[in-house]
Amino acid sequence: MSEVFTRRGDDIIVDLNQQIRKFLHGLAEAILLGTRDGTHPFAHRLTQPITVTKDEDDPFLVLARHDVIATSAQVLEATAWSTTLRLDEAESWFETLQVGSQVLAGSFHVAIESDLDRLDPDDRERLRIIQGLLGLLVEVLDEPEVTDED
Amino acid sequence: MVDPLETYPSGDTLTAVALDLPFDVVVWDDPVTLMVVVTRILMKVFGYQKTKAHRLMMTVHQEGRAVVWTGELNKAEQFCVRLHAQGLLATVEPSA
Repeated sequence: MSEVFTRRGDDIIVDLNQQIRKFLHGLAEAILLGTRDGTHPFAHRLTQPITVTKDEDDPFLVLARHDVIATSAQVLEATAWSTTLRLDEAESWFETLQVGSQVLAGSFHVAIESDLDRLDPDDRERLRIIQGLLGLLVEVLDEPEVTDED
Repeated sequence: MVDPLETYPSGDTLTAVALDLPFDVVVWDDPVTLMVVVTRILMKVFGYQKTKAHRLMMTVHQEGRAVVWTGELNKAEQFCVRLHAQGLLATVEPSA
């Protein structure tokens, strides 16, 4: 069982150090910054029709809608320092971390030219951290609820 | 690069196509997303049982893509948006 995330009924206890929490907060903040501007290339792609045909060079014209990503990122930004998450908040962590992994792998493009300087495409070390957290989070999100009586 | 607007040059054409054809929601393999994460997203978005979601995930992993849902265009696009929001690479295309 994960020691980073522990299921307690409808809550998830989070045991993360401040450095990781600061990184997660910055990740959410940067995603929000990078997706709020409709003229940004990342958001610009959202204006394309979803229906596309496969192309050898660039089959994926649409990556993600900024509004739905922003909703989850806002939750992570607001709860990055929390030691207890509700399940819906944990779901938002899951969604934002998954999107964040794409950003850090260079698959998604968000604004990184900010004074935050927290997101670098192709950041493999931070990518591994996020993937590790995602794997642990899936375990507790999917596990049956455990109560004190159990 | 294929311009989708050339593929469907007008909204009217797209509507006409949408009325007559089923569309596939396709999930594409990517080197980043964990396999357990893909499985969980398919369960969450489509309500699939874990066995079916795992099988589709393995198809994505082994064949590079998988048709994960087929139906009317409007609903296919909604599913596609939800998959995008979960960070998966997904497209909608006319069903073969």
